[in-house]
Amino acid sequence: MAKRSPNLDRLYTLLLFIVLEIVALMMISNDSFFQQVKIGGVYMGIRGSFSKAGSEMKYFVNLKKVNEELNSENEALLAEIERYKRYVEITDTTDTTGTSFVPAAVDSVKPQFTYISAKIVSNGTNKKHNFIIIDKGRENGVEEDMGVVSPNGVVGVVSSVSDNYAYVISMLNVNQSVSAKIGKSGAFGPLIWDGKRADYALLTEIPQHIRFAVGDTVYTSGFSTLFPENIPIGTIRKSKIIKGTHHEIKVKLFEEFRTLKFVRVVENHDKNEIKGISNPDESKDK
Amino acid sequence: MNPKINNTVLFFSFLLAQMLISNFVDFGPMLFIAIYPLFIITLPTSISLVSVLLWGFAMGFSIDILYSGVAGMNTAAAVMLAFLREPVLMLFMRKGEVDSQIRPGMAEMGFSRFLVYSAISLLIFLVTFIFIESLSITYFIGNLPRLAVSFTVNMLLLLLLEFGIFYKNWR
Repeated sequence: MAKRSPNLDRLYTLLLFIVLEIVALMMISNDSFFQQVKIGGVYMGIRGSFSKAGSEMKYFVNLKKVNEELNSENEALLAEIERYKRYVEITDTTDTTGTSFVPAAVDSVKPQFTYISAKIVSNGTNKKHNFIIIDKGRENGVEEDMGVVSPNGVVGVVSSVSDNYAYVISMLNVNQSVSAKIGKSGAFGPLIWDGKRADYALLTEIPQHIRFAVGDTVYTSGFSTLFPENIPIGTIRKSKIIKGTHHEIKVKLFEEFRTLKFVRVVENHDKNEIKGISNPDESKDK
Repeated sequence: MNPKINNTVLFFSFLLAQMLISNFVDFGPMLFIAIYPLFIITLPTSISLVSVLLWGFAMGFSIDILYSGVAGMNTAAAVMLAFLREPVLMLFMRKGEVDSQIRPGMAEMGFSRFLVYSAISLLIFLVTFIFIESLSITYFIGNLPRLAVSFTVNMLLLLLLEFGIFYKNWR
């Protein structure tokens, strides 16, 4: 048999290399497709065997902390209910003439935001692009581009959903940003993660004249349709001025992503309405 | 042992080990632990470059699919490492060693040659990975500490693994 030219061999391997590398780059650019695969039925079965033991163990170790968190959240909710009760009472007693404001029956009020509680199946904090998989999907009303929060702040945004699972881009992802504001002044800007530490994020594009102090709380701004307003995210640690025009503020997050177990998906009922106003042409097309 | 079966067994062992490390070990985002480059750099020299590329692709792809992260990053880095393995290996191989069915490990190459060979290979892998992760040069310079930390830890881990598991058994 005639021996093939070694140059031809080299050409073949070079071609194969280029093809494989292009496949890899296409995978990166078509990430949403692979996210869909990753939360599909068969995949979750395989994956479960790897991550379930780990996440269950972490869950068990952190049970005490989870309980404490739930307890404090219950307390906060109870306090809020009491506040509303009181509010209703006050509005009732002032209602002597029948002309003043009458609060509508509680049942008939439709809130702008409702929550779907979910449990984290898989979570990562050790990469620059971290993702979370939660155990609620399309069947539970979770849709793409919904915000995900926990009692301690913002967790992320739903990226893709299958029937029973959802793939969430974690706040700890360099491609993710959340609109946030400083509590006192109300100055707002995107809150991004710089990929360095899991408990710090950067609040950028705050104008230079804005005054703030270390320890001020940073909240969600409510300017995106993803999250309700005034969810506390973290406290200001230190800042520096970038290019002489705006502050870059280091924010210590309240959220502990490593021990996070329960989250809530935010359902915004006015989302389409808001989108319709801001992009009238687009909504007509759809 | 039949080298083909052997490679398959090693493939799944490395895959399992990498999965366990990725899921259970968390030192924060500065440190990216990867032990599977050892599998690619110690594939026997007798197998063709095409098979090395395919093994590398299979390894990277499996890890990308089984692990939550941006799909494709491990694949791209592993294929790059597999492609550049032969030229790097050529720098350290003696005449005649390439054609014999040796596994380019510590026992066969000696400590110092293996150290330099694996260091260069690991550097290729990590540079590709971190470059693709940030997809720009500006971020890349900001990522140098991450590269340094990951390189040091992975190098130690790689040497420990090679010495602990393969050095004696293959002698």
